[in-house]
Amino acid sequence: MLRRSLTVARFELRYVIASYPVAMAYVLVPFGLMAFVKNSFQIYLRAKGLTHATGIELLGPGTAALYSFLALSHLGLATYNEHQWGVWDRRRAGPSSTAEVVLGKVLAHYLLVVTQFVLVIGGAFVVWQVDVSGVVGGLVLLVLAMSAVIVAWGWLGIALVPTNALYDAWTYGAGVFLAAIGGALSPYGLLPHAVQTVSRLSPIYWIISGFQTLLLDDGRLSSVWKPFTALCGFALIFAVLAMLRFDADEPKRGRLQ
Amino acid sequence: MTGFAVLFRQEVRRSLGVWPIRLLYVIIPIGLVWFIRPAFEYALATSSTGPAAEQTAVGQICLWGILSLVFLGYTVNDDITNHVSERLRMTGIGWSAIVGSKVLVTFVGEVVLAVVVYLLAAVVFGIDLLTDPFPRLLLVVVFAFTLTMLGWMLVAICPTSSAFTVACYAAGLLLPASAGGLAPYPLLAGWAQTTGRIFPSYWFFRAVDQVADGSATFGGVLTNAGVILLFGVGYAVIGLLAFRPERRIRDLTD
Repeated sequence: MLRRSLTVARFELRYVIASYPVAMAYVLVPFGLMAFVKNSFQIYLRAKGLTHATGIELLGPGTAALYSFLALSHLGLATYNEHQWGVWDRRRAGPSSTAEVVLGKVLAHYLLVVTQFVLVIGGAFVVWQVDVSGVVGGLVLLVLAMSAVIVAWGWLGIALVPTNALYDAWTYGAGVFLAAIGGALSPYGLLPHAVQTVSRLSPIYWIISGFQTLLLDDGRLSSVWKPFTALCGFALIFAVLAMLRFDADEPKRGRLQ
Repeated sequence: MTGFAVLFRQEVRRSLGVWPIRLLYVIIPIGLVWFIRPAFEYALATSSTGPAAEQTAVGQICLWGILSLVFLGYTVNDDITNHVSERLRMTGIGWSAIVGSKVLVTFVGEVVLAVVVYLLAAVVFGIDLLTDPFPRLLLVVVFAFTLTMLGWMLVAICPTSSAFTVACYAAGLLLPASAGGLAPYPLLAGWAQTTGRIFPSYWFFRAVDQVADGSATFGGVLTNAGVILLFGVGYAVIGLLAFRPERRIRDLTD
């Protein structure tokens, strides 16, 4: 099973890599956004007494997560195009089962999201000189869990949404909304109290919280178990919902139908 | 009914066909104004440049206005890749009518989005629009024109639909962020406050700040409105020079 899924994953990756300027934009543009917004996070953190903070400790994971949601448009385009071209049904005529095809696509996009995350966060930490020594293991765990959340969310969208236009709204709308309530656009401490109470429903809140613990608080690996578990929980819930709702025979349409 | 009017009506119908998404693009900005406003209030407590809610609202108008441009990309690129535009051309309809009807519908959509978000934000967050409604209306209409022309330019430059979408995603966050629409302007770094001037959003936001704090009326925003308009004209000219639909069709069929 895994061999056929890996074949699907390889072709899926080839499809995205062929449009590498688009993929690269999702890596480069976050740096522009962080450059403009960073100062406001830094001022807020320094006012809180964290005199060594750069602001990127919170803004980096939030922005990387936001743009990873946006990059789910690759998954949408690849999948909805297959439906439009009639490839989806013909692909299932081959020896690969639906589960193998889905697993292959999910694997490919998980790899893409992890890579994008590493490039954005790693690059941001280098550019703005954030010291990550001693906490890399914890950061990696959080990135792997958050990437699983994002890909599971993407596949849940495929399972629920009939058109590519709605799917774009699903990924972009969710990305910006979850980023806003999770404290990626403005610091968590400055959100309205009512919003702070629901922030925990945003996976972006948890990755920012985990990064804050590691980079600005005690820095112990054992203290990120809570955000890590929360992220794994989100990934599991989205994945189970997607599996329950997904119907391979359901027709999908393009952008404006 | 002229050919253009028929195409325009058809584009309106297509645009209304995705009404759930358009509705979402009005509701989400209001939520975001609510979420982000306290950060603006915090930042502006010592250096007020106008009510926080209004500054946040215009930031969201810019963000979601640019995101709404994706529909322009979908419709132009769909017509090219499905060879619909070629069939229309065979009946004697020119590119100016095919694309012009789409651009006009986009402009109307941008104005409606901006006005509805502005009005909703005023009702929900108590922004006083009645004191100086006309300068705000002028700025909103001119900014909607410039965003539409930005969309037209991106359609002309981007070779594929996915490239256009990512360009909108990029501009949608960068333009408001660079001019104080996501993080308060006084909290932007010095270099960011300077470079923000190269974006039309800077001139839109600063003019709204001035109207909101009562330091400018209709005559006072004309300079900013003129600069925003110039950006729009510049984008339109670049779009006209770069639009090569025949080449794209050739690339599809080769």
